[in-house]
Amino acid sequence: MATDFFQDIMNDVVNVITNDGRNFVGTLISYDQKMNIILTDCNERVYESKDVPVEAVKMNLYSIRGDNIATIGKIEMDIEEDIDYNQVKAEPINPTHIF
Amino acid sequence: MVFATFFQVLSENNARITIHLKNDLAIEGNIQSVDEYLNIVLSEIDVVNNEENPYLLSVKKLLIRGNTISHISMPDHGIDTDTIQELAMKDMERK
Repeated sequence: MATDFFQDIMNDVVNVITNDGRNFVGTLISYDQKMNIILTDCNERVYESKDVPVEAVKMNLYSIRGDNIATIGKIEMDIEEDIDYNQVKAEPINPTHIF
Repeated sequence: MVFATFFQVLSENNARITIHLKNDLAIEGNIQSVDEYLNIVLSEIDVVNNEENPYLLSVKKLLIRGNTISHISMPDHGIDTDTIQELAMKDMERK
């Protein structure tokens, strides 16, 4: 069940992709059964194009409504520390198509 | 609940599947758990075409919300389709 997963990643740094194609990284401090979540120390990772490195925009305390969430991943800090984000360049994530 | 049952069996076998999302990302991973909304938890994930899509570089364990899933592909070998069919039939009979 999804609740087991949330209990597992509680108070960990998570990576959230939303349906409008935005990417947030922050510490998960709260969730509910509708998958609404609250992140502290939240940064939005803005992917502009393949020529511009990803940019972090500080969002502080951030709450995301459950039905706008596409994926939630737990960030492995040992891998994260080795990544040079000045080298990471990508096109923006596509929004989720709702037909 | 036939599909939830189907993926539950896959998760018990720890099968590796590829989930194609409605936002054009494709994510491969070992299926860990499924719930009634088809929210799926994957472990040891790899994003297909990782160079173009470096959004989940440091993520290994990922929850995918059921309503963003477009389709799912999986290898047809190593999956016990007989058991799945049996479970699905039982599910139908209960209704």
